Amino acid sequence: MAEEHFEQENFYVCVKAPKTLRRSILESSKDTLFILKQVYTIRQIRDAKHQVMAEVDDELKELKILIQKIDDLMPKYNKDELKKLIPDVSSKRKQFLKKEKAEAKVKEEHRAKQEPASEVDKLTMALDAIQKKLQNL
Amino acid sequence: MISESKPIFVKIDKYKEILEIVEVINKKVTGVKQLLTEFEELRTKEEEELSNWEKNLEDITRKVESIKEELSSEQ
Repeated sequence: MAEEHFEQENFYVCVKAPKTLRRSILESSKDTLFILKQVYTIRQIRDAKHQVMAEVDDELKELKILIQKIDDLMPKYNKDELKKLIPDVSSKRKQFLKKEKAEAKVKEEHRAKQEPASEVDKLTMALDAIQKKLQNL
Repeated sequence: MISESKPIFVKIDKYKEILEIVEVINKKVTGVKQLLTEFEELRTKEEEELSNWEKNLEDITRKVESIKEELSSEQ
């Protein structure tokens, strides 16, 4: 019976509270438009976020270059000079370093055989190198 | 190993240049910190907007439901 009603083009419904219904429809429309407006606001916020991220990225790249520059400007000593400066290098330490170097070489070769290094891999490698330098201090 | 108790003196040729670079680095680090604060504020704002969005959607769902009920109630 109900299906027959829906098939008809003109269907009359008794609206008990027309004002409330009208209010609900208008408020729904208002909320929908408000959501659409919010979509634009969120899009703007996300654009701003991306911009800030790009700026941070640029600044960090520049920082990396500057730190590298400082590293280049710092004095470099060869082994003989270091021996004069640091005479108490123990043989155990040397052995340890030699072993570590060999392991690192094997790892490096293994890594090189794999796919080309991504930006993250490069950063990881740079971090490892700094970590090693710190350990050798 | 370098003895912690005995300082060593090394010659740094471009000492002033290094200090200048350190100064620039400090400024840049401050700038990055400010950018991160800005980023954090934007993230909070985005979360607030998303939360409002969700609330509005719930309101719409409720209103549409009441409209549907009104139109399909027993005559």
